[in-house]
Amino acid sequence: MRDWPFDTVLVANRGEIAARILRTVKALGLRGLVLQHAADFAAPALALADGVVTIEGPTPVAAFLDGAQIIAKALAAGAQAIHPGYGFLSENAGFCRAVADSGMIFIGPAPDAMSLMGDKVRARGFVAARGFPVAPSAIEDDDPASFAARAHALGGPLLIKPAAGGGGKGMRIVRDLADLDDALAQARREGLRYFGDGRLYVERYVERPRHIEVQILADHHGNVRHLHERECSLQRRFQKIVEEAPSTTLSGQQRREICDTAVGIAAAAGYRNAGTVEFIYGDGVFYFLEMNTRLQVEHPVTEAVTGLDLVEHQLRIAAGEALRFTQQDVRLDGHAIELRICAEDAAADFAPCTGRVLAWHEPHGEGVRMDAGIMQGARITAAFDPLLAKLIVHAPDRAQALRRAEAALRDTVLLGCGSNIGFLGRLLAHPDVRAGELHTGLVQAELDNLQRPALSPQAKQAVLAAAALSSPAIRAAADAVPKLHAAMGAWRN
Amino acid sequence: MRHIVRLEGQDHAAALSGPVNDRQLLLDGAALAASLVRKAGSSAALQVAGTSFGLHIAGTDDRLFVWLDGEVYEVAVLEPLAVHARQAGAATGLEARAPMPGSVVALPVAVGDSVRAGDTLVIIESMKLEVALKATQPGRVAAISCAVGRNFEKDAVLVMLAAEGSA
Repeated sequence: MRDWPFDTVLVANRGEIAARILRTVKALGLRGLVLQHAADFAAPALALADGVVTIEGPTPVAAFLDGAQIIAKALAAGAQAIHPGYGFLSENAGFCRAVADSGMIFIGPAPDAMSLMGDKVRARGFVAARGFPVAPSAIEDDDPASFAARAHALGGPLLIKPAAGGGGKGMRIVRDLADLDDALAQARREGLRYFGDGRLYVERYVERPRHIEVQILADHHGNVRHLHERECSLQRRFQKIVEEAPSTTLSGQQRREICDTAVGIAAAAGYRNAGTVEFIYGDGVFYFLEMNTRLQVEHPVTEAVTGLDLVEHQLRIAAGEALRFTQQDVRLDGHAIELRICAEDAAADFAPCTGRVLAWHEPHGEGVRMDAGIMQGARITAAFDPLLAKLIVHAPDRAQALRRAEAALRDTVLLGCGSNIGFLGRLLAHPDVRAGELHTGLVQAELDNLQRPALSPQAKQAVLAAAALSSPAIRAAADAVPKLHAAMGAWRN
Repeated sequence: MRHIVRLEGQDHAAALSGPVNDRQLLLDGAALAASLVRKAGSSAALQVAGTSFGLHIAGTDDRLFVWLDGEVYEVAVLEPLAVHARQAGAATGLEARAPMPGSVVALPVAVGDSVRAGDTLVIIESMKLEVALKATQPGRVAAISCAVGRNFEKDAVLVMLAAEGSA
């Protein structure tokens, strides 16, 4: 593109996604700025950015959610466009409008489409009214007085969701209807706290469901394309940890149907820029789940199999350019897998871990990509999401991609903070995962079989010996022993 | 002096003897020839009892991280005195301890309240996940050492109970 309508882009985010967006911004010859809160002082994005915009707030997360402060400081720093990344303000229609009102360009959809899809209940009604498939459900807003009764009438198992939700927050499965009222109360409290909105809806839960989603790109000239599907069925706590493209289950006919449905939904909503239409798939049937109006965490697997840079297309669409490829031009080349490296302890129900990055080694090699948000010296606190980095592998087929992923995981070393790197390796080795027999409850159901096996006596001795030989305290004690005692050596008791 | 080296919840006695270039490792009473050669970054070559291992190691004074064969093991190095102090305050079932670092979302109990086993003592949040810490036995709330909105570290005692019937 010869003339961009903006030359400086602020990435209103942090961590791995800030670094990933900055890479494309800079590759296109644009200036990239990034936000920084004092909680982050060693981060790849800060090293990559042409400028840093410091923000403050009562908590680190509050600073990243302070749209007015971010807009004022973006303008002062000379930004003409804002890329929100994912999370934080990325799906906040008020922020999207405020950015436009300030004269800057918001790199994402228009606020109307964002509001429509951000309200999960309205989105569902919109999609159902246009003839696209949705799961049987009870919606509180239809008639709050009869909501609990209608929810009970659906029969179990049920899935409770906050109307304003996303990212698995506040979601609960209820198998015994006797627990429904308590679960509704708890979900309402979480909805109020996370989204400022306690309204709920309940839908029939599909047992052993797969999560399949379709990547969309839509421009301002009426072109809507899909970039095929991603399968994200390996989840813990309703949050994805492994994603791949293509899905391991769809036939060619089913792939066309689900992708065409996604294009139809995006077109009906008048959607612009990058978005993702999510579906629940089980027994050959798929239902619309929700549409995410932003760049997804797992977008790199789509980039790997299509060869398209999604952030580049987001920037070009925001600049008013038309998509230059047809649907037939979008290729599906090989198989890609993404592994989310998180600061969490799989042995303690994925409780978050904190620490300081004392060592971080990334794998290299053909078909291996690491989108990291950490570097040596970084402090990992409970202030932010536990996602540290994403390992993405690409290979001619799934079996080779799995092998490549396992080898790359073994070359990934993080010391100083607990992580799920070992767990991800065991998950990839699980027979059902190898066979592509996935469902969103697999991780939870197989959790006991996915734990780290006990150390062999020899390995335990090695770990203890390495620790003793490097411990400053133990070495100092040995060096402080008077010569006579040292001569007695192991005889001393 | 022997130190305590804690791995996966088990304590091991460890000490070194001999000069820097010819260390003997005394581990749980057994004397082993052992050497560790640091290489680039965190990688190191370990020889112990005649076997070689390639590993990564990094740490602070009392918290070491060892990567071996794709897994990372956390090792705590403690002086024997510190171990005794910790055991004295070990869990009695009368404390709600933070399983992870985070902040307090809700405190449904007050000092003096009677609680039954299973009652929620405190609701915490960490990395956007809400967890209810519940009483594992009946008792009376003796002390609350947290407040809504306040942060805490892992293992912090948030609520203390006194056994029912005790003063």
